Amino acid sequence: MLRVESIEVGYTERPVLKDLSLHVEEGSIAAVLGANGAGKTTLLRTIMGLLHPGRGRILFQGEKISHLPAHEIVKRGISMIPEGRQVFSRLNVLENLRLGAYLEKSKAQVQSDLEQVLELFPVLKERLMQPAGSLSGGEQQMLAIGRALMSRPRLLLLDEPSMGLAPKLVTQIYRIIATIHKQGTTVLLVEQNARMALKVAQQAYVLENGRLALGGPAEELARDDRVRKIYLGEA
Amino acid sequence: MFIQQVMNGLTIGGVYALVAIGYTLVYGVLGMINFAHGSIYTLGAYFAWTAVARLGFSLPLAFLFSLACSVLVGVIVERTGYYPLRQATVENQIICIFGLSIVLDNLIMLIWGTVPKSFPSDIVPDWVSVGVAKFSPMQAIILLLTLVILLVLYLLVYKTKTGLAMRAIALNPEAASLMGINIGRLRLQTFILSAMLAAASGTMIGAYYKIISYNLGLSTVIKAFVVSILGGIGNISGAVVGGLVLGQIEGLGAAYVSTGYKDAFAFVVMILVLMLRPNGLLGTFTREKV
Repeated sequence: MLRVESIEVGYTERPVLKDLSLHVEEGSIAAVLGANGAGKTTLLRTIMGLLHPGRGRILFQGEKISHLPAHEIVKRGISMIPEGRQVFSRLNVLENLRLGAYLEKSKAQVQSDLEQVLELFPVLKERLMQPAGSLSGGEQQMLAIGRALMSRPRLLLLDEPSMGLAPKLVTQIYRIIATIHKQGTTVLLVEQNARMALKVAQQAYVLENGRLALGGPAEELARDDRVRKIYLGEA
Repeated sequence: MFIQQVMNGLTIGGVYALVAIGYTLVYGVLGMINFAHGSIYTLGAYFAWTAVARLGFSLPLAFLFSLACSVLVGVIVERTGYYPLRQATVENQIICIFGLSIVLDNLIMLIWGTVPKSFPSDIVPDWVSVGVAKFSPMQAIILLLTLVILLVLYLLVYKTKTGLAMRAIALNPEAASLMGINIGRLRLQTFILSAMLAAASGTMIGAYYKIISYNLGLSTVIKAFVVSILGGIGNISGAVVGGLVLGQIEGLGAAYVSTGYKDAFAFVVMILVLMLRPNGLLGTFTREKV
């Protein structure tokens, strides 16, 4: 569904991603692991069209998308939950969700998507008129996920969904990710929390200094000595 | 006398509010102070004057003519002054926009000359007496028009999807683009809207005082800037309140203190606000930093 083909991405001269290739199968969950600064966020931002690769290309369902701006990427069915959630803090929850459906012309469709999202996140239903900035971190993460779902993406990108959340909330967020996946959305997530990510993913990649260090079925990676030592903290 | 001064203040204050909203919209959505706003305001007045004095249009038609021309000016200024520099540093953007405003001002002098132009005096009767109060039809027209424009703006910004997208961009442009919002297009639309507001205000002021010159925009725009600060920059309702407050201070100050100090009041107000309430009268608005 998504193919990243030997891309090189740099903010200035020094590339952050070097000759990076990976792919995400339709209907799967793929995870990208790596330490802080390994280039995980840069990878998602490049897929999303917020950055453009200097070399290589990205294909989505056979179409080259690496030269397109973000709003065109959204139009093709990719949606991202950015690092730090990035909800519109002064707009209320309902307005945030409506913005997620910005490209949807049919009001009836928006309404039914809204009902589905609120079913998935009942806590948002009680807060529809509250400014998003007044929500707790966990609620903001749910809003960010709900907002991304409002565009009915075929591929959902998640940037560190567990960051800054209490363990109980992390479990809850991952249960929701599994539900979204079951409903037919392909997922690519980026995590420092390797344990959680490897549990839900079928395919996993490890980034080190902008290069692909390892890649393969998640179960295999979970058994890999290096992964266990560095990312799962086992002896 | 008092009522009349209040009316004068209301008329001018409403126009200040419109100019200030133009500022505020561009600041919010494009993230830049629009230094060419005053030039576009002056251009608007000249377009209207040309329509009335040279093309023989009626005043309402001249108003629409000025709006139509300002759309074109908005497109040109945004596409030459803002769009190519959207990734540049703030310093470069300021220099470019400032330069562009100088070009526009000189263009106005080249086309229309430096001698002030006067609107024909018979476009609207000067004063109509109602009981003891004399009241000016032009004032009534301007007040009504200002109200209509404010209402349309309110509906646009707070009740439409485009308005929601504008507010989203003001808060967080990158997150807005992740919603599928075409930021470049919305910035252009916002700039056009702001140019139309400037041209509408310039036309109203031109027709109100019946005389315009190439530097018409300068003092108004500085005052609209004061209004933006007064209301809290980036805050639309703040701009309305700020405009009305400044209009009253100026009108009453001119009547009861001295006309000579009329322009000074604006700056006294600005200094006081910056000292006492730097976020503005209603303001808590600050641009979201990521």
